[in-house]
Amino acid sequence: MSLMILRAGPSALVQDLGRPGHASLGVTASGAADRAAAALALRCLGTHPGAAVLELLLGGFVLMTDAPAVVAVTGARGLVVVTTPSGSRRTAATGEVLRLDAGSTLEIGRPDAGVRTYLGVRGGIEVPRVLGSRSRDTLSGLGPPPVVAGDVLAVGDSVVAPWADHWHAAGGAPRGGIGPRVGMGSDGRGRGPAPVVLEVIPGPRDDLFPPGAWQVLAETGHVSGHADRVGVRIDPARPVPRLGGGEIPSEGMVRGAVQIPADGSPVVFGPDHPVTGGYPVIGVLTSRSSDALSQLLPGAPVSFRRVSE
Amino acid sequence: MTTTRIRRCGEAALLLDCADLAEAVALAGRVEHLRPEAVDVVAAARTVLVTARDASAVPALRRRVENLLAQGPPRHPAQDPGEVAQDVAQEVAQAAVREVVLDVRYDGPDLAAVADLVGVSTEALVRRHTSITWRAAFGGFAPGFFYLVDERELEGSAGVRSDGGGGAGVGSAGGDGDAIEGGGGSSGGVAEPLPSVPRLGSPRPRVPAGSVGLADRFCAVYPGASPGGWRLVGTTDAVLWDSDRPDPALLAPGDRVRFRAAGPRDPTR
Repeated sequence: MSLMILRAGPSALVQDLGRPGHASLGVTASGAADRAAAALALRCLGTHPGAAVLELLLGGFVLMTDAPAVVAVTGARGLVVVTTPSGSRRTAATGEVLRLDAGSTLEIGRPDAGVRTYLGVRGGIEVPRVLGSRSRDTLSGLGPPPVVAGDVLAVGDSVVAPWADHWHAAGGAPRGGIGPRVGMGSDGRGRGPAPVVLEVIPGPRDDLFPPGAWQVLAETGHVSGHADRVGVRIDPARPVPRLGGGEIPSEGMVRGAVQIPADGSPVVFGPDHPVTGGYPVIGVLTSRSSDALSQLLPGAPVSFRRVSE
Repeated sequence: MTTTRIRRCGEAALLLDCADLAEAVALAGRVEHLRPEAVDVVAAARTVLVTARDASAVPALRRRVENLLAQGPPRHPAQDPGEVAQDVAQEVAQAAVREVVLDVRYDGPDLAAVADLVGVSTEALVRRHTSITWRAAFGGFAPGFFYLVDERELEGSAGVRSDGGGGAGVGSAGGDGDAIEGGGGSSGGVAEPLPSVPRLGSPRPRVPAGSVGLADRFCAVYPGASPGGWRLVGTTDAVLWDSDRPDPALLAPGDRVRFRAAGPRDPTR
């Protein structure tokens, strides 16, 4: 079985759980940006959690299957359309398991909330592994090349369980953290979108910051235009203060690390972050908050909340 | 006794804060033995990052790291017969260190500038660069990119080494090492170290693959074309990274690296 890509949209990347264990060679972990969404797609398809899915940025994606297939669309919320070979159209939504007949097309539109949609297929997407992983690492160019129109992707047989027939996310309820939600401010007056709260575990370099740094981080900032799988820069309400001005010697970093460069604008490392970084890290996002951040558009309001663990 | 401090780094990692590069590199070598619980071990200039599989695996990993630190620093000189066995084990580990020889054409655009900075002729700079025994201290900038440091720097603070004086002079490990000309005979086989080299004021937008660069007290070879601010002294045809090889990275942490002047382009290539 194979999937022919008719339209790839702005970015379509093969991703799995990534390739941890090679950082000492300069290879970062990579893997799906919204891990929870990617894992959900595989789980409801009864497919091995280590199998690969497609990570689609801002939709605009169409594929055709040459054999009956079972797929799931998770992550960013938006319209999904299935068209059978006879031409009958059926609309669906993110968070459904869909059966496709041979010759059907599947179209994933631009999301209404969130930016990254995950397309899983029962059995997993089969491309050659590099260092044990099928993930595309956008920083170093490792792993399968970005998927483009005309590509034909093989489907594997990494099946571990029955698939969840008729499964769909109950009532289409959005998963927490996706997209800016319109809501009331804490004072009951606001009508703007409520900020997505990103949870930060302090350290390893929180001792290089004054206590006031956490107050600034707790104020509402915004996702800047510099946001990709390598990192997301946040335009803060005010520059985040540091105790010293200088850089520190480069040190090993993890996904979710909140670096504070000299200009005081936080940079949060994404899945394709460099193995090391040279700015002090005040704290590290929880993995849930890392997933949530990967779903935000530039301009989305965010605030950081310090958590003990 | 140790100067290392354990810092929390998110849900699933610890950052070990060391006194200096020598301690970090030595510690990283020991933490490597904590795999598979230690998923990733990233040495850097003064730290070692250790990641666990997930948050639930951190407490156990932390205990193992604490136990390791409680054993004291590695390469501790033998004080009593009881420590001899440990010392022998370290000798064996030392003997297992790989030595990699890289042929270099010293044709880099910054060769003359670096020689000026060091205060020697370009020929003398090349002699010095080829007579130093480098050590792959840590990776990080890109796949296969290694920060190489003069081996003697790793011996600095970690106490006296008793490995028979092979150390920084002419390679004594046999094999490829025999082919190396040691210091041009002018320095009695002991290479003078290189001074710290500042990075370019503005990085080059594109540094070709195989470029041999110097920055700070490190030397490195660019595995692929990339932007870079290191001062380039030469070029090697060695392939530092190839995803299709069983071991994609030519170098690994701890490897000894020597550079050999290859002269102008090899006519057989």
